[in-house]
Amino acid sequence: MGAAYGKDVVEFSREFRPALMAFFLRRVRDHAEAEDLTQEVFSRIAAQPDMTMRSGSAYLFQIAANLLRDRARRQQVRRNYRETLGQIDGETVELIDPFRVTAGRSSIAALRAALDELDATTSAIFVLYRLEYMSKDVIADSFGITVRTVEKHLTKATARLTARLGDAI
Amino acid sequence: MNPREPSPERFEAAAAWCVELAEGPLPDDRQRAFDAWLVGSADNLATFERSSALWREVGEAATSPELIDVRERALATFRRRNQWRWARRAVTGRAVAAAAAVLLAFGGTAWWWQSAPDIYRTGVGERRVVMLDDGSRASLDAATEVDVRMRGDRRELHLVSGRAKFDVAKDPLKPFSVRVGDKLVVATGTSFSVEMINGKLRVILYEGRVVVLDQPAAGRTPAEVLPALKGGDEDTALTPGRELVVGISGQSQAQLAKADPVRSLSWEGGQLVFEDEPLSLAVGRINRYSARRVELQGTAGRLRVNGVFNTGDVEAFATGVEETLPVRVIRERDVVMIAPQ
Repeated sequence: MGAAYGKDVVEFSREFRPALMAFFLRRVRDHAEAEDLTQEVFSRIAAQPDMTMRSGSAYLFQIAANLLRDRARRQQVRRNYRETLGQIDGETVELIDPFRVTAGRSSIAALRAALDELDATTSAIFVLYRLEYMSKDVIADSFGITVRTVEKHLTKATARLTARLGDAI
Repeated sequence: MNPREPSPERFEAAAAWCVELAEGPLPDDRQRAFDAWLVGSADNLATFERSSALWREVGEAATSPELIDVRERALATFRRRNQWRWARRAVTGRAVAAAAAVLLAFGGTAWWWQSAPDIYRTGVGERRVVMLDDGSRASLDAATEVDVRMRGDRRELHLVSGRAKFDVAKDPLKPFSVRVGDKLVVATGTSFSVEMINGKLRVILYEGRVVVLDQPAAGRTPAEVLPALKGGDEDTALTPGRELVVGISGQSQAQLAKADPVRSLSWEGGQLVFEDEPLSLAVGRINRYSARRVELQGTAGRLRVNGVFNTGDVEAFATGVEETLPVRVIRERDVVMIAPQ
């Protein structure tokens, strides 16, 4: 049930940026660096000439893991080198894709149920942005609301779904 | 309810950051606000992780039967809203743009694949500055070819021969890459030069940050080209004022050296400055400017040369080399030969 093939950078960013940030935030001290590393993953993905290679989260997180290793190599002289490297080596399996979702039927059914519990407009806006990759501008225009209001709907939907599905994830 | 479950407010805050990050890189002030929120409570990072995991799970489930009809319903709502809207008011330029954006979102992105590259070439002795469509500037040395493709989501350049310096317009969503042989130099907003000479790729960074990658063969992930560590306490990053040298093709050890920012750009002003450079490198550059070629014989290429020469003045170069190095110079009509004594 893969992420779509041949996504462009905007779609990739929307799909993976929060998870990549969470991934790096756990592993580097400096949050600005997490942002830089996330950006670098997208740069490398976008530089891929072969579109089919740009699919799949396993590949994406492999790049993220490689970046952490390169960073550890660069910091070779710094005090925390051994500590960082040891940590990465110990996590090899997990690093393939720590956010891989083993979404069984039951949790997809729960997701569906939670979406249905949302207000119809909130649900539609969330689906259009998250799954149809429409821009906030386009959504705001057609619903006759401001971009800020679109963001409020997106936040509300994400918060409710996270709370409802908390234990299933 | 689990007493350790985050409060609705914490869920809201985590969700808001997740939504903001999904849109793109955070500006500096938002990044600082995000940091402040994260350190505000030990539970914030964990809640943010749950939010981003949920965000991913929704994407993974996109094509499941359970979600297909939710998506169809959302699209139907979108179409209905647009019909009302267009009935309400005249079609404005903004609405047309919005409709075009929707068409693009649905219509696939195949169209830009077919676009042919813009090809920029300079002849022997010719230099040229080109402003690219994205606002970046490319300064081409003599005997250089750069092919440029502005994709919808990235800027792809190919250095076919010679040397060029790029001042890249900042656009984090459209990475700027220069392919050289099977190496790839990737930048987001920066100033650097890329040169092909004697089978080597030479990248000098003037500002910002670039990454040099081994162009991946099918099925392999791209690997960063990292220079050798020297002496143990040397930083291997390609930082401004440094030059990275690596073979154009195949796997070879990269080297890192200091680059004088002024001297290394003297070619833009019509001068070539050599400071203890191998003669082979100097001759490769001199030859970009003159139809009368310089050729090296035997081991002459290994000698080191110093001096400042005007581009295109092969005779002055030959005389300078003749006077300072242990070589014989043989002058013919189309060729100047330099041989060890």
